[in-house]
Amino acid sequence: VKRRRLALDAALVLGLIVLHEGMKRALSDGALVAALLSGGGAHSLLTMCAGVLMLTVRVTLFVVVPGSIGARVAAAALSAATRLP
Amino acid sequence: MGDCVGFTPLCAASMENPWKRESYRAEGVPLRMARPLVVRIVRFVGFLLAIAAVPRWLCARDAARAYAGDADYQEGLARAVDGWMQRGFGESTFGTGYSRFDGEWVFGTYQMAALGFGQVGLEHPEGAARNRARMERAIDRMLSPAGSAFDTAAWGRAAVDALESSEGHAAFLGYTNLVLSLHRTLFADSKYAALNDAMTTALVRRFEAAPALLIETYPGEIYPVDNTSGIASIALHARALGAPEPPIVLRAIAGLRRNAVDRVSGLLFQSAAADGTPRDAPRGSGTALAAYFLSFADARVSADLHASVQRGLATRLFGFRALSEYPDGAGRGRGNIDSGPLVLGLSVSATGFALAGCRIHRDADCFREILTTADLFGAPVHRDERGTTYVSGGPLGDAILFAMQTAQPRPS
Repeated sequence: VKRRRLALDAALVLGLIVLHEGMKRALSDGALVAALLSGGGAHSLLTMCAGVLMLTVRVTLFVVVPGSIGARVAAAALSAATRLP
Repeated sequence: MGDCVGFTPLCAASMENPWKRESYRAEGVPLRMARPLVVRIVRFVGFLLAIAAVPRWLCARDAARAYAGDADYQEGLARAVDGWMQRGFGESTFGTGYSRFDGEWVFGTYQMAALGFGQVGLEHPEGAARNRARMERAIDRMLSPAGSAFDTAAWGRAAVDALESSEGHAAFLGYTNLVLSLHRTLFADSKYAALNDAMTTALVRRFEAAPALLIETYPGEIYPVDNTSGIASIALHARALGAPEPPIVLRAIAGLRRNAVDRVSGLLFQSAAADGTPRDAPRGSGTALAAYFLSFADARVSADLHASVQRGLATRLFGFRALSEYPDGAGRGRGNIDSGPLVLGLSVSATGFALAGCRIHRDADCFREILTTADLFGAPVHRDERGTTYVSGGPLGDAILFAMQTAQPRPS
């Protein structure tokens, strides 16, 4: 069960990395700023939503994922330590 | 099974898995009772340790190269900004809803780009020819009708046609002349020499005639930060020619410190009346930009402003640093055209402009922490053919980050 969950988590992180890189490249060259300043329209709204999603994914990848891994490693270390004779 | 009360998932698991049950028993009663809380605390500590170490490492990968002035790194930034210059953009790129602000942003993009190219040229003379062409492309755009439209519309005529008049034009003249003086510093045969001389003379005359040594940017509007650009341009012009600095530079700086710097916070007031009375609060964006401009004229005053910005406005967390717009940290509203959007009172503009002060005054920690923040929220994209652009930057953001990251201490 643990291995399956680990594999799922790894796949999720990999998916986030691919999504992040793809969105970053799609939104480069000023698309996000242009949408932010253009004031309205479906296209700019969609681009802004994509920008917010990209930044959320970026913060998740750069902050939440490492923190979550750190928490798991710490818990695993505690578990290993308390099992010692 | 005596430990199980009711059918809980834990009991079910332990019934199905004798190994787990054995392990569970071996831990002893006191530890078992305390275990959930201990595990939570340990997990939280692990989470904190990880986010204190990993994000800063991920986002600060370019900081050492940027701080050291790595030629390849700077070339990546320069190529992207030059791409904006070559592809072209206009007021419609920005669309803030106000034609003047759109025009200011177009002009500001050209100015920051030109300063960046000039600074790279100073730091890496081997690429001087390439950066000269780029710098001149940006300057030509600044001097074009589209580049100066914001100023022309406000005054009713172009600044270059009003050099002999008493009209202020502080922003256009100051920002443009600073770039022209830098070009003159780099290239003795600068094609802008005559215009640089004329603008310098016009600025000197305006400062000498101003009652509080502050020139109007627009009719009835004075912004001290725009004046710092003009002062710096006069000082740099003298240095480019190897001439003594005109006395008005020292007088104008003294006037600025007396009239436009808040005695409590040490920050620059954003706006002032003709007699020097403050019309706005002391603010981070203007002060950080002024610290950069004044580094071309007076390193000590620039250092004082930089220190005030860092002392009064910086917020640091886990290797990241951002600056507030206002010294009380209250965050007045959602920000405006100068500060950019405020998030919890933190200013995008103040944070970006402060990068320059960190590099100029050799504050490596400050530079790394601000660039780490810019990396996380700016999301740089590195591409060989197009250079380094920031997803959240656009033409103006890319140009500002380029100029700020390549700012450098002036030779004494």
